[in-house]
Amino acid sequence: MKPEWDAIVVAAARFFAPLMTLFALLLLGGRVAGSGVGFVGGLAFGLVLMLHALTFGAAVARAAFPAILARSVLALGIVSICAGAGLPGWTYAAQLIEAGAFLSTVGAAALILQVVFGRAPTLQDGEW
Amino acid sequence: MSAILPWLALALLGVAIATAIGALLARSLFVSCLHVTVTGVSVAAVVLLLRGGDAAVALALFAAAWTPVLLMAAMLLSARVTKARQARRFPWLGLLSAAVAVVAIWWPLLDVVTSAPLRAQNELPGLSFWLAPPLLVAGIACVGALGFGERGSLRQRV
Repeated sequence: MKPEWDAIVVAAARFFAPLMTLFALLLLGGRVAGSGVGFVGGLAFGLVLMLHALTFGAAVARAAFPAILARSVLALGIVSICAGAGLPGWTYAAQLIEAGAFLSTVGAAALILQVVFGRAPTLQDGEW
Repeated sequence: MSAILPWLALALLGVAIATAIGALLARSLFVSCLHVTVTGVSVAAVVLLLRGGDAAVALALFAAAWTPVLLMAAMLLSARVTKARQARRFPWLGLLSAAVAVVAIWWPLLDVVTSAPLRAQNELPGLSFWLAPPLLVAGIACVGALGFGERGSLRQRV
């Protein structure tokens, strides 16, 4: 454990992260496809990424979920959405769209968090 | 107990309107951001109390969890300035815009509430197929803009 990490926050993050992941996956799997649960589940999973980045720092978050992987997940989500939209007669088209929305939201959330949290420390002390 | 919920939602809606006006009248970004956060949380609570379902969950996730972090990031990445104190003027334009928005939402609601629910019609044939390529282009453009705009933070070496 690094000295700059807070022990209580780290313990809380390690305890709550699996529960939040379970909540996101339950939202994705438990709701009816076609009601926009993919985006909602992606937002919930993004909270896990946010908690991880806030607790352990942007560098650790970037190592855990590299930008290339986040972009790949985002691209896969968009392709899934387009594939589902282009096959309306397929039985699992709605599920594919929801899964694509989940992946694209997660990938976008990871990129946004890494950019925002990575940029913040570059501010000069003089600006405060 | 459940009879109180709509009244509680009404009270929270009043809080949301008050904090929204506060966000417009704020002179600093910090105060404005906090007002926006409280507005979002209040609206999310209202929708949850009115049993909004998945929309309520999405609104609560975004307003109560994502918005504070994103707004804090916006504050951190912005210069610390405060608007100069100006002579007090009644915000006629803001109130007129809000009144127009309320009328635009309220007017169709009167027909929606009184009319019978419509049965879903078959979609236009091939519409989904032709919507997919523009969506793909839009998504890739967003990914490209995101990568281009903040390339420095996403490099392996800080």
